[in-house]
Amino acid sequence: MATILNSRLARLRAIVIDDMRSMRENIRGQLGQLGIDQVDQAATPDDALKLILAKRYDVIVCDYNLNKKTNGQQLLEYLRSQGILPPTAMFFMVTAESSYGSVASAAEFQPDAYLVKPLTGGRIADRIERLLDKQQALSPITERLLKKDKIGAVGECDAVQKAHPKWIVDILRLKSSTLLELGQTEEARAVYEQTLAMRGDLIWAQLGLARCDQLAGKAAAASASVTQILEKSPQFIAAYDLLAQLTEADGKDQATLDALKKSYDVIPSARRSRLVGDAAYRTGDLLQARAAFSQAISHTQGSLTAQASDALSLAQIHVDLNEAEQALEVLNTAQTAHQNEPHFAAGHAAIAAQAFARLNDMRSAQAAFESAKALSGELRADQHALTLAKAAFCAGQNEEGIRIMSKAIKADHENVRLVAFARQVLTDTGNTALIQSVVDDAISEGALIVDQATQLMRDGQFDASLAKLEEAMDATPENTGILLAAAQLHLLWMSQKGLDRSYVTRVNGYLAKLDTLMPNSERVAKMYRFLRETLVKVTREA
Amino acid sequence: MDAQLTALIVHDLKNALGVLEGDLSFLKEEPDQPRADRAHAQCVHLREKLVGFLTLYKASEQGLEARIEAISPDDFLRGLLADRFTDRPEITLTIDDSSAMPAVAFFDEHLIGLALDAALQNATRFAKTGIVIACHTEDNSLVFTIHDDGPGLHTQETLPSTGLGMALCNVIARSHHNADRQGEVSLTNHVDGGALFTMKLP
Repeated sequence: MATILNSRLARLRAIVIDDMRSMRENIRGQLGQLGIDQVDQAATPDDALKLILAKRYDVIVCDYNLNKKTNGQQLLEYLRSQGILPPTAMFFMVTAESSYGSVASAAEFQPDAYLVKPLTGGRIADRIERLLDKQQALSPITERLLKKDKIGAVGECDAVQKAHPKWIVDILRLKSSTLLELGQTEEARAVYEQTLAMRGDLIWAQLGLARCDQLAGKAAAASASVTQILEKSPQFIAAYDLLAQLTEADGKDQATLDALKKSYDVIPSARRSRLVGDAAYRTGDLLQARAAFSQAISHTQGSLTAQASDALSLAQIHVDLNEAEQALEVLNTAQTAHQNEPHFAAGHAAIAAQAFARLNDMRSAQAAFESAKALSGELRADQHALTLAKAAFCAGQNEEGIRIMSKAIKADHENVRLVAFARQVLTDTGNTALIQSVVDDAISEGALIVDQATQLMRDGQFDASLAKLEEAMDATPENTGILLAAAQLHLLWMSQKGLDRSYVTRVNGYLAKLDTLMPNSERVAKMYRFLRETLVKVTREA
Repeated sequence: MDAQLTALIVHDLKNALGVLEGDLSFLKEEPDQPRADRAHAQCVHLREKLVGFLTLYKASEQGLEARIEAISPDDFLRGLLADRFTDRPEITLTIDDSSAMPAVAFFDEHLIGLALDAALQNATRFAKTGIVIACHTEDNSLVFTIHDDGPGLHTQETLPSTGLGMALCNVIARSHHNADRQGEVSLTNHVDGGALFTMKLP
């Protein structure tokens, strides 16, 4: 093999992950021949993770078969789902000839390329070169996306496609998904159709059309498409996720659970177990939830990929199943592994309080609740706040429970999952009678602010309306209902009074926040659409 | 999988291994660069044959499923040739990069790489001076061609062939579907002389 020296490659930092020393040395040698001299090695997923967290690698060459607990795909899943890999890092999955097809077809997180053994320096160099070319070609789009400039990113697509036609499919994929995020469902649909005209069996584009239907409010059409996709391609994980979203929005919790269970059958990963566990818990199927979180824990036990939330969820389920001793055992075991993680101690104490109460040890229950409260910090609209409320009710501190729950709901009163969980907490703790006064009243309070602001707007009092919403945003900065109302207020005002650049900036700020708080939401997509229509209207009139 | 073909292939692999063994035992006694290069090339071919054999076996046992991706045929062919090992370095390999080559096409890069490697290996055995590899679209299909300047088909082979290469190309082409169309391969005489291997993918 001739030595290929390339200055572009020489700058790259690489890590080789393989449990066999001879393979690591071999790949390291091949990379060295390409001029890549900075090559670290890791024999286990945990060693790899430590290095990846500490350094920045451009090239990761990872064998699929690592050890009994974690394979290369699971490591990649963890790195991608936790956002650990920088966007320019190139992840290569090395598979054996015999397993290449099965590994590649059932992968939720795709590596940048699969490399089939035996590896040769020439092949690695070819793949790296191609990926670098692609990164460079697409950079006008990806750089804008990194800056959250979605409209600008879409605007770059045509020029990039013209200059680099060989990356057309990647460009169309970026363009369509960005259009979807912008709520431009019809424009996104056109791009998906353009892609499918090139190649009709690209499942991601077929699924994209279903997403367009979902965001355009055509749930039945979206469901029909997803079902059709899964009949033909039962391995396509993203389709199960869309099906789960559609059924959840339709209030069909059992169907959501079924969809996620099927996705677990395709990819039995810790992440999939977690999704099944959460859905099962929401439907009240505690046995299924217990099995799912036990699985998630056993998938990751003793590994750096273990997550504190799995142990907390399992302990909570044990409490709900009246298995208080097991709950405390799970919490004790988790203590060693997760004691330094943020939020763990507060969650631990809140669940322990419930377990002690189940064991009639009210003194310990109250002490644990007090410690949970002290550790919890500012309450947000999340599951932890409601777990803390549950601990309060269990420890006999109903006043505190009501206060915490009411605050959590007011923080995001239109959050369907949160509200459903709050009702469940009150039912579980024998406080069904409080649902009206706590949950419904908290919701009404939030709704009243939105109503009053809307009325002020109708009366032409923009400033008063905005003041009302801003006051609410100060108190509850993650309240999606208030954020949507604030965006709408500015847009309505502009459509009557004309363009105001500072308002556009504000609306973009609200929408960026909403993107994180409620991803894939039809309501947010609608607001993006309203923004665009307003901008078109006011520019035309100006 | 056809028992006769299996026996032929295993026999062929055993012979190739024998040649390699001979070269290596010679090299042990007396280091010799050209012979080492030849032994290395022999080793690469042996591995390619084994991979081809295993792929055929997999196709007959559980079927092959192509993993379709969007790929630039130009990038793909360049990568294929750059990584190619030959025991006949005097034969020139050229990519016909005329404008007929599409910017992007849809196929399983790994499988088509295996098939074209095998077809190139066949062409190398018969070529006199050169081989031209090309890619174009025709009737909504992607067509790869390999044209050698050898004696063409129906000539007496001086080197025996097992048929592994063509059998492999066949199963790989057929693993490529699009709607109700399927891939196919053919081996014919070129009008300008020599053999023409054609792989048509839907």
